[in-house]
Amino acid sequence: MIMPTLFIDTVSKRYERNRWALREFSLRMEAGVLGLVGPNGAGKTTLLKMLATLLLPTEGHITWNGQDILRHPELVRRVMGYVPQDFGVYPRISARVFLHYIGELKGLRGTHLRRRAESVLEMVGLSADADRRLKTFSGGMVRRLGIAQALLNEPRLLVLDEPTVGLDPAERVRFREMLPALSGERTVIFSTHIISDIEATATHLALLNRGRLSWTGTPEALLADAAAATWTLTIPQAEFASFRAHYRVSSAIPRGSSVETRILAAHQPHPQAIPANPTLEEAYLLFQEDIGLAERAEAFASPEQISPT
Amino acid sequence: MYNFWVVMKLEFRLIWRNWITWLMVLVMLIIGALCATGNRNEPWGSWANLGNTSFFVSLILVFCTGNQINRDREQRLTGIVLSTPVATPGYVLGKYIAGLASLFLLAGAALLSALLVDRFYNIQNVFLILAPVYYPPLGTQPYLISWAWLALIAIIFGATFMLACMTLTRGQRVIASIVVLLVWALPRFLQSMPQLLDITATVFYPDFSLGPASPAPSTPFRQFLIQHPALFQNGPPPANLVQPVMHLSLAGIPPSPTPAMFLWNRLFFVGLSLVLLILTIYGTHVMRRRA
Repeated sequence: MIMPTLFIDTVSKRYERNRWALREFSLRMEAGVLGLVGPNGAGKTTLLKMLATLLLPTEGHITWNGQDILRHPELVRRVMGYVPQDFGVYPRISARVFLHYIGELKGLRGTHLRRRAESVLEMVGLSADADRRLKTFSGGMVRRLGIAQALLNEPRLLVLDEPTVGLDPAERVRFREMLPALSGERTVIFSTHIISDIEATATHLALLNRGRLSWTGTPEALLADAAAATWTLTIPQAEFASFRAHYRVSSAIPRGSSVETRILAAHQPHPQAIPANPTLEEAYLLFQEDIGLAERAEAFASPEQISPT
Repeated sequence: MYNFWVVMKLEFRLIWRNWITWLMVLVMLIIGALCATGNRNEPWGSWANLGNTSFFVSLILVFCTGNQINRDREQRLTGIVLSTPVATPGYVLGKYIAGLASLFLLAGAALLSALLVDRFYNIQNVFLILAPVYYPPLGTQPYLISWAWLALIAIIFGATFMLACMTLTRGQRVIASIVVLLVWALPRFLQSMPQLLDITATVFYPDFSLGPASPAPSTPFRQFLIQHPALFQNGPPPANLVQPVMHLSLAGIPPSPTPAMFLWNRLFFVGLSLVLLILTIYGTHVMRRRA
């Protein structure tokens, strides 16, 4: 079976005269889970709205299976599930009625629709509340319903814009467990700024910063790129404050009179610092430092760049 | 086409699950009852009474509609709904027809109430806010004529205008309401209004006017009323005058001959509604790519 390919070709979006939300973003993606990671305002939502055919880019093209989705949005709408970052529901109807409505708009009918609605309600743990009016739902339940509606048509392209925002820890764990089952033979694009959400599930990562793609590859490659730049060090409390002023500290745990820290640095920051395996979050932090690509490459090569002054 | 039905069914459901809709049913029932008792209290003013009732029914109903598409945006539903394969015309028409059908039903409640009160109500004293009735029922025809001639087109135009205005201005109900108020109220006071632009039909039927009274043309019915001042006293009219009054009253509904321009006026507002609907579809299509 040939997998459809999503191709984003040098896409840019300008909202105001000189405010670019996205600059020359390119990506090619087949089946798998793409974690789109970046700080707030990086351009993640803008990109995902374009994929959901709700926003036209200022420049560039997006194709799905070779077809231009900007000219023919209906081609991708038929095979897509989309969870917006911020969405509401009709408060006076039940979850079941809402899902049937969205399902019918997606082209599902009769028994198949009913079966799919039951299935997605079960998947997101809302079966018991399916007939309650949506105005009685908590924020987390509405969020889960949003995920459910996106899955109704068994989409080939699943676009999730920060789907875990507003979920409590148990709901977030449930979602993380659900995501691998969803990926299969589909393309899942999942934006977040919470690395732990994608740590176990993303097959690819794209790091966005200030509207530009700053890094792309597999999570393993990101970890490998950051492998020589993570250290652990236990130092006295008194030294910690001045130490932190000079180094990027990813964690600090007080242990009596000393502090156990993890540090991100291109070169050994302290004679007693021991190399450590980076977490994905630490690797991400290294790549989201407020410096350009060339400067970051230099930083990894030059100890002066981040050494104490 | 199927998506049109899907959108319409849900919109209809949402409208009728709103308590305001049921409050409007009550208001319409009261207006209908007031109209019928008024007609049976003073049948010589029936056409003016029917015109005024159509005016208020259409104006009140128009103020209650138009938010169907903008509400999806306000409730942050456009991301989910408009990323589905639903065609924009199907989506807009589904919302529009559900709103319009609901307004017809509400106006129908006023009509039904008027017909029932006209047929069955026989109290010759003031009851609550209803006038005492001294004359026999007018029958179905006058109510159906006024509903079809005066209320329906006004409701169609008002519903389309409000939907277009609320959608294209992203929910500026104040602007839409002011325009509607001007379009509805100005002809009631300005007899010099171009005939084509009068949604209330006041320029065709001066009986509806609230402006300075111009000398009324002398008609056989007016002569008859002037000759029988007993008709204007409190209490039941003399028995021998009831039949002539009813005969003359029913003969004047609708006043004949029907002005030729009246048909063009109705066609103009239907055409304008069509243009506004196309504009709404286009505006929604544009909004869909700039959500």
